[in-house]
Amino acid sequence: MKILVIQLARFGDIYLTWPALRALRRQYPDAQIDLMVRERFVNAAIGLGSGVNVVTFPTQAFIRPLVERQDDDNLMESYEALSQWLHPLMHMQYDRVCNLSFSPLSSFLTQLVAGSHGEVRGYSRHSDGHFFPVDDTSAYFYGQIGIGKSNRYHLTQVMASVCGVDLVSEDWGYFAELPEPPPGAPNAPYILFHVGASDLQKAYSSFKITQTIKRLESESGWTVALIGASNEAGIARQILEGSGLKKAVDLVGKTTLPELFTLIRDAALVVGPDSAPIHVAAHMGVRALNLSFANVTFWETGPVSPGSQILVANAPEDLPSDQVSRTIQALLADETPYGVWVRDSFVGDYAPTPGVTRPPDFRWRLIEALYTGSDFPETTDKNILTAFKRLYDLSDLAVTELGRAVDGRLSPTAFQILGSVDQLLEEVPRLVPEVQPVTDWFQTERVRIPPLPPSELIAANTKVFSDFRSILKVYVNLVSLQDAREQSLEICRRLADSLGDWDVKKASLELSEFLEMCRTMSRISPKVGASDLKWSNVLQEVEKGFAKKDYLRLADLLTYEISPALENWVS
Amino acid sequence: MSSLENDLRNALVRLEQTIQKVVETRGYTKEIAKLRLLEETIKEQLKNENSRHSTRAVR
Repeated sequence: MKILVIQLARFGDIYLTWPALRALRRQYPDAQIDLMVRERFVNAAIGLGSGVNVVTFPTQAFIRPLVERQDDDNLMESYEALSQWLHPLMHMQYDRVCNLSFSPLSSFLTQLVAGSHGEVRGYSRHSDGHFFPVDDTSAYFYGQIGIGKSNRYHLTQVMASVCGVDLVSEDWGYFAELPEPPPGAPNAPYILFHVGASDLQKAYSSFKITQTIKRLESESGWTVALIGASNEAGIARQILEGSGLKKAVDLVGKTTLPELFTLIRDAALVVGPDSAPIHVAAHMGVRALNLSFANVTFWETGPVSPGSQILVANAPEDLPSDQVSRTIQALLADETPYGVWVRDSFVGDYAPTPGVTRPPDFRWRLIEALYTGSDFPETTDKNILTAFKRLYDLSDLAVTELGRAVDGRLSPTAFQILGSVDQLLEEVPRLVPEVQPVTDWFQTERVRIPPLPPSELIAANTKVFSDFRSILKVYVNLVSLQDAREQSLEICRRLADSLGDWDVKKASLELSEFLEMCRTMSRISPKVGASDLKWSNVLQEVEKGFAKKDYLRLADLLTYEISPALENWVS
Repeated sequence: MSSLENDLRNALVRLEQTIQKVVETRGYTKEIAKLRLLEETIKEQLKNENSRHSTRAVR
């Protein structure tokens, strides 16, 4: 078996990919596993061990002709360079291509390399070039992960899920010989402080780092070594020059990547933003204190080594240095944590400690309901309920207009109406962000529709809009869950009575209400109350029974199985 | 705008025109996919270039 994992993001993302690669090796011990990374980040593959072959994406080879030559043929030269590089990959015939890059570039690359041969997971393209998040996890990533979104799954778990594997603690680690510590490394025990970040908005200020280290030195005699990339050397100078710090060591830009692993291995703690050193700490099993600011979602990229902690603030300027130094000292003294989020295991979760302000949960619980089948969160917020009602009305309008199509053709009026629906569907979540997870789910499902003949395209869009409408119905009638259960019992009994009375005409009219009820209830809970009956099976059985005109059997199903299950649920 | 950025933007414009012409005549092919891959590679080198539309199409 041949597997290609594409990871064209930065150092930190490559380290977050390591566990998925190890899990693939565990699951497919004899497979050829190739990892594609950008040339400038190839050193992030050191430590993966011998089981993974590294392929590089040579960006500069494709860009160089455009910069070095000014004639019209430079595009052709770039194209030829790209084609030549792609050729052997396209003929490799990978059995599985896992794109963990989640970018437009990688989506085209995945489509080209995978061809029609292997299984594709991650971002790719439909046969007409439209974007296509192939598997459910990639669709989840597209809809629910990014700036302003509400995801709480760690990216290591997401990546593993895209690859089709589960993670265990042993998937973290460093599997090559470690070098000696770099010159100038302090003697253990010491704390490592990462001074910068790939995004400056994630970085703690140099002044506050100085103040933090001063306290650590004076209050508990700790030695702190500064780490970072060579372009962060200026920050280290700002921290140290004229600071009066007695023991601090500047190793910024002075370590190779393997030496950084050794340095972290011997550290008591790594402190910094969620950037590469935090992820390296995970692989070395060293605890980290992550300083996390509002524009970063620590759930996605926070430290995972057991015992790690996260200090969250809106912005770096909102986090006092004395709080940071107190937290560091308490962590190292194994005191009961306060005011931080803690991580208990590599594959576990983050838990708040007393003193932490918990963010609102509504959007996350909505995501959980959409993707894992848990109960939908209740709300009495009028704005949210109104927004859901507007979305429901829009989806209902769309289903109606799509239903008017003749031979897969929509009238000009219908096109206009549907165009307006699309615009409004983007506007509502802008005004009421709490409903965004639902609209993002919906938009993603539409993106997943492949190129189809017109009538099938209409049918596919109708299904997505109908599913959307069913979800929204949970909130439309200002329902509490109890109301929803009671309403569903009433609908079920009415249909059972009509069938029992052999009033087929009445039953046929009640059928669509019953089927919609099933779809809505399946969104609230996959099973009918505490019974083993699944709403999806109920839906199938009832549709089949009506198609076969097996009304007696249907009446029995409704009376003796579904109604009792609903009665138990209601009570 | 730096000279490098200027060169890349000019290349991007020509590339986008080429892609449009070829798509109109031949539809989406492997060659177009390669051109789009090249297009995205250039876009990544340019600051503030919006790639989102490449992943945001509904039918």
